[in-house]
Amino acid sequence: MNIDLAGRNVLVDGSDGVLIAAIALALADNGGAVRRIAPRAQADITADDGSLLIFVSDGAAGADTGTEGRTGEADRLELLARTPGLGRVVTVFSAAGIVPIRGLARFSAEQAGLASLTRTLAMELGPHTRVNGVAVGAYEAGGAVVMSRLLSHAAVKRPAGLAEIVAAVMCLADPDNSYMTGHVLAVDGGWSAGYARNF
Amino acid sequence: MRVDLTGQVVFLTGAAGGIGSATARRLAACGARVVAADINLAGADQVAVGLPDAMSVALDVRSSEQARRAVDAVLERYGRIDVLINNAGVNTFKDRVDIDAFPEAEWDRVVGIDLDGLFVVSRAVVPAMVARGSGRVVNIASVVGVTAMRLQSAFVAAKAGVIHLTRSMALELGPKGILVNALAPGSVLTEGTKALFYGDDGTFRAQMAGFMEHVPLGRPGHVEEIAEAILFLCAPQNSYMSGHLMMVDGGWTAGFML
Repeated sequence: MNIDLAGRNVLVDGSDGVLIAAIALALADNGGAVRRIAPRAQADITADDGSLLIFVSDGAAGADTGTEGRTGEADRLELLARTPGLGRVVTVFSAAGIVPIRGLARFSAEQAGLASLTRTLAMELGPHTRVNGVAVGAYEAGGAVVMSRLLSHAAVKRPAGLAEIVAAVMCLADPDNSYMTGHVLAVDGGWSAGYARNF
Repeated sequence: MRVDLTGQVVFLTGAAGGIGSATARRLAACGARVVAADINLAGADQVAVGLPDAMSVALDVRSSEQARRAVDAVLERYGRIDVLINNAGVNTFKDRVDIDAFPEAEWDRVVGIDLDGLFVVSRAVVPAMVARGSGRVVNIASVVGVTAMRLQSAFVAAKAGVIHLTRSMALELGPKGILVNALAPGSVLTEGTKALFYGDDGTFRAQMAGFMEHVPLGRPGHVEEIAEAILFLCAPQNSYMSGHLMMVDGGWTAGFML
């Protein structure tokens, strides 16, 4: 997916990982001046008009990797998103934020919190700033399948490739995509759409 | 968004309307061969005539016989259908009344086109996709399928039906290589709705100004903005989304604007 980010500053926040690396690379390849925000950086963020913030939750790295969301992710997202001048915010988190998963109560609730915050920020920061999210399902990374337990239930019977998740982030970062805000795209092969098992 | 649809055949219903014609232009600009289907054949002709290697077909989406003939004509010319966009739809403008007064004939007309028609056309087109093991379906729903409104019960019910039918289609067709998603436009500015939104002096009418206070972006969408989102749902790179409802409503349904 090619979009035109020439001349735009792109701030990327989140822990190191294959997904955030793929997203940052694609944003740079499409002309964005990408800068990773230093971990725990609080107040040194500045943005000019038209800048983007990409916020990647640790939850997007999947609960079955043993990763819970970073403590205080919602607080951090809110703080960063309120940086004056930002034109767009794209959040990336787990599809467990759309459909909660048994045995992962805290994780599901945290991710749902990010989904809700994405929508609330859209209302509070509009019309200047558009805020949307991507909820990721099972995906393939480094030979392993992150969130593999989702697969038996997905309509598309395979995990996503990283590029397929990146495509959704590009769609929401695209300056031409201008009437979407407060929406969360599910990139989960239909996992959250319904009951896909045969019975 | 730069997307390459070179060679892909897109079957687009309701092609003569505002969103339909904008979508036809946008996808054709990406290399798609557009089949402009509409009950208004003259309107469909007008859309197709300006686009490279496009064709038009007359189609009342309520008629399975017409749908079958249209699909035959498309397959005869191009040999394939890659994308189906179920865009044809109508709402009630003359009968804005509560359900206890809602005319049965108007209910049948709206549900017949918006929901039954989507089923009829999908049923006719999907076998060509199943045969090739790949395809995309984009169903145009509406915000009212998510958040109900008064005085248009048939439209509300039909669009809610479209959204859930989309999920059901995604579950059934995913293993066959076909991705199915829905898109819900919010208020959209078209030639038809312009007078509804704006007074003669070019400012919002009072009723619309109040309404727009509930929309975070504070304005209706443009047909080009809806077409851009439809393009994403057709994009070859966007290949792991299915059964999803994509809201393109300026944030209207994101929450309550206190």
